[in-house]
Amino acid sequence: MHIDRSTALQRLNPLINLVTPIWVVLAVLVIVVALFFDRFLSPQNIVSILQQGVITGVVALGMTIVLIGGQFDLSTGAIVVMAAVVAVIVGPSTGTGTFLAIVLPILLGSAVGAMNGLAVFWAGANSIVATIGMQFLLMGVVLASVSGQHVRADNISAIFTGLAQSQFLGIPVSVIVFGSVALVLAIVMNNTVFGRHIYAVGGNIETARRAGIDVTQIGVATFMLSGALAALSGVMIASLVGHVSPTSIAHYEFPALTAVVLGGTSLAGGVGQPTDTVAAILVLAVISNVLTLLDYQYPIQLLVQGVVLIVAVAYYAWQGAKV
Amino acid sequence: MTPTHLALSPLVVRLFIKPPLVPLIVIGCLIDGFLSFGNLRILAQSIGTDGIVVVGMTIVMISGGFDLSVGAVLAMGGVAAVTLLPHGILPAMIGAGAVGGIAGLLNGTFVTRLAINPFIATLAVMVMVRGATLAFTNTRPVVSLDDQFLHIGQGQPLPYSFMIMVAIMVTAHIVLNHRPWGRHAYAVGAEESASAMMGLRVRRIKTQCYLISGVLAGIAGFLLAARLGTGSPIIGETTALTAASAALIGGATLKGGEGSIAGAFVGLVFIGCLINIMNLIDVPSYYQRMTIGLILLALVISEGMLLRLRQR
Repeated sequence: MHIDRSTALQRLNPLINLVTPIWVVLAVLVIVVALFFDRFLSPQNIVSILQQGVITGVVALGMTIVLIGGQFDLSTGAIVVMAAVVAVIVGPSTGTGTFLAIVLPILLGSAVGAMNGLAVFWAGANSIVATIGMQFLLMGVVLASVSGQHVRADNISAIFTGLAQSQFLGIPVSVIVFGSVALVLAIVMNNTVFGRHIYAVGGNIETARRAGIDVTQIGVATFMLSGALAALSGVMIASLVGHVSPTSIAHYEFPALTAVVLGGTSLAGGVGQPTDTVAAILVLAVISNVLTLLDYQYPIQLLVQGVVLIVAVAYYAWQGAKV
Repeated sequence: MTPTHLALSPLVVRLFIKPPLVPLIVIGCLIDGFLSFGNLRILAQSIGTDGIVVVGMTIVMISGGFDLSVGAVLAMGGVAAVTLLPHGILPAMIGAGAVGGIAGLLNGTFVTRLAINPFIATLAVMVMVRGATLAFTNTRPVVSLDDQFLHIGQGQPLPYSFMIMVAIMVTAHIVLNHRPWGRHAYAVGAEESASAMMGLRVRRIKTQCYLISGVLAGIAGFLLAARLGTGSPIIGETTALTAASAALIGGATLKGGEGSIAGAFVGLVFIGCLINIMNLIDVPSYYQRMTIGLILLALVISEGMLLRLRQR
């Protein structure tokens, strides 16, 4: 009986794990901010917070998986730009065009992820430097292929625009997509062999290899997942704005990494939960919203992000040292 | 690791294979304008400011760290220099070095006292410094038309920045190879725990390495601003990667304990010539970004594969 109950609890893992420090931080933050700003809880503001958050959030979910596997993926920012540019160039005007504009960037994103994964897990390259190298390479390719120009699509179909702009039961479709991705990843990470193998590889790669796990295969899969999700985020941007200037899209890898770390994913690998990344994304989105309400511009937001990252890393390092 | 079975001397490898500097220069000589005095001056100028940053990066990498913040610090140094210029040239230079030093101390403190992974710590400092610089300048470049300041950005026949770089490199080479502090930096990078047991003050040495890197990046920012007449808050995006590539080509590793100033200089000249030749034959800047990405990828992949071969 006892064993049965514990397995049943384990099956509910994603739900139980919801109550982690970062969710408490989120709750406190929302209450405090709501007390100070009347506008904060207005439906429009909440929708705008969510819409802003999910684009970084989808990137962050992929990076969470890579980081749990013990590596970093800093090429995601360039993959976002590539996906947005490709989606617009394909031209989502007809039915097939719309399908291709969604699927092709995601395939390309996972292909870039596969290259990252092979460089890191097969060739043994340092993941931070290799993926920064990939970021430069990819940004160079994207800028060269559009000659650094703005790209625009005509007659964008309603379905493609709807991906980021329409609402279902009052909830933006992009938020629903983000929520489902997070839910699926939470289940995959906690309740499948594949997920447990990622934790094992991130926890101790040599032990995982000796236990018979195909480390390269698992590692490449994590990078492909991250590449595909970054591309999905790029498609959302294309859907949201309908035209893309490759040089003006921000570097998404940094806020995404901040969110992943803030969510408690260990920089050493082997520890982390996609659901905690969701909470961290919401915390960052609320902070960014407050800064916007207070009329602070991009530079201050950048500064605050850097401080949040250092505080988060230092907090978790201190927590780890205590145990 | 050099292919010893081919019996190539390290010097030949350094000049012909990793990197293929001599072949590149031969190709360069075939291109119209490469050997002209004006072009060589431009080359020396760009190598000068980058090279000062490379020295700091190499020292940090020898001690087992990495410094992603140098590009942002370079921009901050330039902005600080132009801002302080009304008080004189010397205060401007000291100010640029000082703001760089503060960033370096932050890096060092985060890495050694809070035990944060050097890539993440310096990435966070990079973002903070960039944000602070953009906020301070309101995202606009600051311009100076001070004659004395602009003069420092030039220099005859060799640019001052190049001469300063040579002086810094010679000093760093002597300190790293012939002074106790330099040998300690290598020891800390190669085997941190053993160095601590031998009584070396590991944290202090590593913090000093980041401090040096920050100060040098600030001074490079001063010189770059003097050359351009402008302190731009957005320059230096590729600086960290260019500097790291030069250091890696020169034998430094991401694991630490290896690397040399002479090697980094060869790597620096190689990258400088490559970019210069690309500019001469009108290759758009996107391809330059691509090339640095490719070089970096090739370097870390080959480092990883060699490490794996050695372990077998």
